[in-house]
Amino acid sequence: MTKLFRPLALSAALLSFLASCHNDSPSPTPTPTGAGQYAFVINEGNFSNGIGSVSRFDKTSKNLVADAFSAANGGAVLGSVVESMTVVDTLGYVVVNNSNKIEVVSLPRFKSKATIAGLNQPRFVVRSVANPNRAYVTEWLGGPFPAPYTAGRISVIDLTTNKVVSTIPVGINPEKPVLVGGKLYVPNTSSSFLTVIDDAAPSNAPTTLTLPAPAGSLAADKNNSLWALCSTDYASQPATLLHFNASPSAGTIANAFPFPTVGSGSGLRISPDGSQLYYSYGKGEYRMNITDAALPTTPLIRRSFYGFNIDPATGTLYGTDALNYSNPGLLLRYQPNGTKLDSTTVQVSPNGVVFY
Amino acid sequence: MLRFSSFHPVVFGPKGWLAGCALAALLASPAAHAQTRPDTLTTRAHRLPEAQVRAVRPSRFAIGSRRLVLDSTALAQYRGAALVELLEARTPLYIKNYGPGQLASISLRGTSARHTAVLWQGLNINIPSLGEADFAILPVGAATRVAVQPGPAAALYGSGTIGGAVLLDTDLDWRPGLRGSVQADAGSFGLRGGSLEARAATAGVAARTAASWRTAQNDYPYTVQEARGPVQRTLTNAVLHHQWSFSQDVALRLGLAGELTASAWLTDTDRDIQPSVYAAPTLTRERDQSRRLLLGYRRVASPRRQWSVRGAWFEDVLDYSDNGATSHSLMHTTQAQADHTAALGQRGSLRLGAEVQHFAALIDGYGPTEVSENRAAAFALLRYDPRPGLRLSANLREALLPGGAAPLTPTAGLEWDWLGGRPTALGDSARHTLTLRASASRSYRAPTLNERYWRPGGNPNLRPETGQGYEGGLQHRLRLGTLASLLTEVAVFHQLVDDWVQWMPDDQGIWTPRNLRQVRSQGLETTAALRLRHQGYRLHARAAYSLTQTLKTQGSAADYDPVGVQLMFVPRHQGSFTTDQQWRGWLLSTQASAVGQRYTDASGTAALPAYATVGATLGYTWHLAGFDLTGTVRGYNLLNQQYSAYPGRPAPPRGWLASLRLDWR
Repeated sequence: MTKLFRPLALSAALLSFLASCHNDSPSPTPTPTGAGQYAFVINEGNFSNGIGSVSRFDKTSKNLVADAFSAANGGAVLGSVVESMTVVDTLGYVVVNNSNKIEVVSLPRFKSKATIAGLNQPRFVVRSVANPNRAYVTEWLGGPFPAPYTAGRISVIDLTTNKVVSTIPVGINPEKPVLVGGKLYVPNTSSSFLTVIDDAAPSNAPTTLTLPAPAGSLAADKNNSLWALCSTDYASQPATLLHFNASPSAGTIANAFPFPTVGSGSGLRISPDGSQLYYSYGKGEYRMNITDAALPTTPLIRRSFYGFNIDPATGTLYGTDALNYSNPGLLLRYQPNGTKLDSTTVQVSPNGVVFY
Repeated sequence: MLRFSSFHPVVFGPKGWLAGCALAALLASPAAHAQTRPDTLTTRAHRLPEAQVRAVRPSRFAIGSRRLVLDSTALAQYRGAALVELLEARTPLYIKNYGPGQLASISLRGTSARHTAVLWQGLNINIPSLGEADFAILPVGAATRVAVQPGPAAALYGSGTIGGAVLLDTDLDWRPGLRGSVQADAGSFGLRGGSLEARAATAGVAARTAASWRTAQNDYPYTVQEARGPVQRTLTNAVLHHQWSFSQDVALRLGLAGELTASAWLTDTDRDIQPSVYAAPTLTRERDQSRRLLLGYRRVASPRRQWSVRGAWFEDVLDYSDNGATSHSLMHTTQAQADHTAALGQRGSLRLGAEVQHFAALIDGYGPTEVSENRAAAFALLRYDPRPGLRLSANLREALLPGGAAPLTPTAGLEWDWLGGRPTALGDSARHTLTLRASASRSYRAPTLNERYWRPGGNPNLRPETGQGYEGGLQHRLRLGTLASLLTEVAVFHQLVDDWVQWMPDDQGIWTPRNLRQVRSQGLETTAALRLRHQGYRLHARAAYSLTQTLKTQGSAADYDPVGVQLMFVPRHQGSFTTDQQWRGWLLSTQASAVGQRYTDASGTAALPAYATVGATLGYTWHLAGFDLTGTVRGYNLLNQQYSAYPGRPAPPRGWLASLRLDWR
């Protein structure tokens, strides 16, 4: 409805945009490395319609199935605001944020296997290393705008039964966590701290790691040290890229890289070999080596992406452009050196790519 | 009954003035037809008031435009209902309807909701913040006549009529005495309602009171396709908690030449706002309240001149809440209008007028302080009939908006009775009339309060949208004495809207409205209507089809919607077929409408399928001593079609509505 809903829907879309452009490639832990031929594009969909989807792109044949779930499940709609997907062995856990559920599908066919309900505004799923039958999903609590969001939580899922078994309190608006050195680090995009959970014993009370500003995205490099891009207050503060020391000094900051101007800085990603960082800043996508002493001055690609991921099999760069968030967006592919390869139209608001 | 009208010639002249008044009075009464018909004058007894101050309606100056008019016979079946229900069933217009009681916005000739102005007693009642009218919160009972005039008409009606105008008017009944009716309704999915209407008149005063109330649960079943197969669910969060409307109109004659009129219309709707059926359930609720007061004075200064002044005050409240989060909007519109109408020679009339409007809004989205703005306009309307059978009009309006002057908006129209009343081969009792009409006009839409003041993103430098339209039509009427008449009409239109406003995210990701595009809309509208009368039996059947092609023709690089694709939610094809039959005390009406495929995004890749729905009404009137008791049963979606006017909002399945009405005089 376009009545008063439109400004609210626009604000919600804006918030969705501000908070959801983080979809990390899997952190370097033993899960499938995505060496197959498929790239799944996560399309949030138009918020008012409530129809999101996942498109399946075959890298060898260049064939695109616009709505893989609908095609495999008799025309069923995946749900409202498809936020992310996490690969667990041969299954995909598709988080449908505004339908409060996770759809478990077979890969690559996308046939529905199970549905996890009982969630509240779920965001991202990360599989445990200590117990491969366990996964964590971050959830927001409170809202919607203009009501305030309250401290969110993580629901712990038993992957054998696909049910929520317990919850862990975290900060406000948690996004995609990163598991490194036996610890799950949760970026809270409206709280200036990371919540740290012990992967081996998640029922222990979580600890916190204070930050100068809320972190939007995290990445773990090949040395098992954590990087955080603190950048959620676009209007008044420049973003900062923080590099933490590896274990055992995991809570201390090794280096801080402030960005030159206010206005942006988001979408921190790590290359599959754990040596190159990627992030979006201004109207470009930048690449930085983890050993660099300063932020790069020129972008790798002069384009602002809504989602950005690196293919672990080939190193090809996949960027998504949501255009105006109501038209079908674009999937653009680049060679590792930034040269454009090709592009194709996907569905509305594509926010990232998952490889299988 | 739905009828089409071109405008009747009302001759101005010393003797013609009174005849013109009488004719205008005759034509204003609900049962009359727009073109003078000998059968009406001879078969119906009309009591004309003696010295009546008759307003010269704006429609006199709308030569060349089509009008779809729904008179009291059609309105009688929809008392207590909102405007959306009436227009969806009885007209071939497309209304994007999110569900019963949910937002319903009209799309006239492919334009968007903000391009159609809804006018009450000639005053624009669109919500000032949005510039749109929600047809689900406008109960029909307050009006005695609903007319839709498609096409640009800014010179006549002001801002916001790029696609057209919907006119709600109340005509007071000057027949002496007291008349009234009371009605109770009950229907599927928890629908309950009631309405009453009372009319009283003496020689010097006429008054009308109308009130209606309705509530509905709207917990209807719908089917959604899930991975495990089709699943039937029950709709939640779509309750219409209450909707009531109260209107009071009074006219007081002051002396022989003056008339004082006062009108009030209060509406209050409290409803849940239904989310997409694919999204998690919400507790969203909205309360819309409007209070509208109008006071006017009209004076006939001489047989050839009259003037009038009107003042109006509107208050619109829009309160929205979602799980505890609230958003409040309070808007006040104060306006004054003055006009002077004079006869020009023997064949013309000229109306000059001016209006000023003051808007004040206290809306959460604008910040804590009240915003206000003023608008003014001056207009000149000319009507000239050089000879019988040829009618011309030329209108002009210039508006002053806060952002500067709006473009000048002229309108020129022509109607020519090419073939009037010629006998046919069928004999003297058959008569052909063939009327040719054409009009060209320009119109504008002032930027809405949201577009100028929304924080963040409001753009006070936004220019008004402008529209330029041409239309032509041919209307043929074949009359077979008093028994039957067949009316066929074909109209073609072409319209260009420039500086069409689009909200786009800027570099910082803040959505802001900009004048980005040009849109072209063109199409064809055809209608055929048959009337039959034989002893006690009456039939009125009407078929209509329209073809609309609306595309973006130009845009800026920042506007990603592609050029040359049919705009979303604008169906290319639409048709409707209605019949009304009466025999002795029985009434049988049927309605069938078909809507073609509509795109759901601007790239034309996803679409909602075409659908057709059928409805019928059966009623019987018992004539008792001094009373009439009418019972009707209306069924809608009789074929139990599963369709959606908007993605994620399924329409209700087959349902019924029963009413019992008591009339007394």
